[in-house]
Amino acid sequence: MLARLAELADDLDPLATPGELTEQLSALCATARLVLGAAAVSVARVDEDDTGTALVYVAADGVGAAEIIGTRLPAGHGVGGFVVASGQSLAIDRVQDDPRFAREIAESTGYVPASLLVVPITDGGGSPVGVLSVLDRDASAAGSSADALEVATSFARQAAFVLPRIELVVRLGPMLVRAVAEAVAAQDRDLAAGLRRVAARLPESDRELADSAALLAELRDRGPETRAAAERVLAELLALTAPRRRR
Amino acid sequence: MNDIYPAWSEPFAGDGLGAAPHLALTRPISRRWAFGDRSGRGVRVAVIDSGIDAAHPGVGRVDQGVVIELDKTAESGVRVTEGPHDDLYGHGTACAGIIRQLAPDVELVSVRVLGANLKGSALTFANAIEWCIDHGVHVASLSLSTSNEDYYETFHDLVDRATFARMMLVCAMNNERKTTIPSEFAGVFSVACAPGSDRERFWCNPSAPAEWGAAGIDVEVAWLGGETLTATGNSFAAPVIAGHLARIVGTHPDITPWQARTVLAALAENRPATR
Repeated sequence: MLARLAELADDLDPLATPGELTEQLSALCATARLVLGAAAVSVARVDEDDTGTALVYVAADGVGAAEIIGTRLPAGHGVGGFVVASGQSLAIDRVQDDPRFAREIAESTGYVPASLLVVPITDGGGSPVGVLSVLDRDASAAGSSADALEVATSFARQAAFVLPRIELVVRLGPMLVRAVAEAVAAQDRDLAAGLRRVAARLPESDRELADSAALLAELRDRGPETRAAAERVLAELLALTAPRRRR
Repeated sequence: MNDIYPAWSEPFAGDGLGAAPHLALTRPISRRWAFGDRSGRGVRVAVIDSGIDAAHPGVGRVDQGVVIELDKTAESGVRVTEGPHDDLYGHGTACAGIIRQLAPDVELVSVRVLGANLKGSALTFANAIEWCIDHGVHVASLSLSTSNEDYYETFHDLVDRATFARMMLVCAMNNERKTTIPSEFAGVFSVACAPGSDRERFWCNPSAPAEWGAAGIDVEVAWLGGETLTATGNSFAAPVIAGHLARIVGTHPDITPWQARTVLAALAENRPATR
């Protein structure tokens, strides 16, 4: 039963996505679609697992929205792949002329747009964490491609506040379930120890998160004075290691 | 006579100093004088991007290729593999096609830094610029940039090295209004979109950092599978300036980047009327 629970945790990604956050993103897609007069707008996040990196669509509005949500596009191709890898937005028309692109989208949604505009969603450090895609924008509503790029970029900036929280929950949720399962199986009430055992088996990208969770779990078991002291040390360390701005 | 000199003054002592960079400027500077036969013959132009499809009719030929990708096991953090390769996305082919259109006889060098991993890296971009400096590239077109301020000094050093090696580094401004490295550095030819689709026309912005303007909005570009697309982005303006620089270097092989700036500005659409 517990082993099954731990296995289930591995498959939890789409289900673990918090509803409230994805609803926020869906509302953002709907607004962007109206402003740009587009057939569809979607948001995808960069996901890393054992099979490599991929774009996973987490919210959408418009044509093919139901089909695209949950779709996983492997890295290494597509306009979205380029935008994430390069950090540069891209607007292209006559996308059917790119046969690989047309096949890829048709297979996932059954809808092939004539025009596509994709902008990166970046984290606080400027690294792309996802993309916002606009399909078949209405030129009369959105103005020139350059104008549409600017509008889409402002929506991507809003999505940037939500996407990292989704990623955190998606990664941390299954980890915690596995840790609880392990702790119970080992008749061990120490959640931190369970998390550390899970961390040892995780890929490097998730190990740090599990270790941090274990550290927090340990701190929770200490008295309030120890917790306050640890918080002070952390705050000082963060201030010390914050990147120096050069201008 | 005192023969002790402060550091760095040795080149100016005795007869060892070579000739100053020479450029027999005409007045006014004309396109015919600057661009010569417009072929770019003998000029090595690198496209630092997603690779180049050599089979695309708009590209015709790629003379050299190298892939630079992250490798945690390597001491430098990157793996460098020389040899032919594909374009994974189409973007590098688009940039190469623009350069080929403007300067048809250049030697095209594909430096692929965007691979199957979705996370592009400032480290690979930096290594790509260094590879170009070390491999005799005359003009490098970089439509990519980073916001990672940890690399500020690395790119500053590289841009200085490129300039001293007389390599013209052309960088697209980011499509988003945010600080990007190295496209805003004074030592690079930074490019943003200007209206229109005529690649013979370009503009010089007297107010940095977007120093040059060229066609990049709704422009025809080469893409995967031998096709063409209509695309928009500063990415497609940068290769226009790279193409014009290739023409200039082909005609004036010893030109320095700062001299090339003067020549380009004299040919810009918004140049002052000749007095």
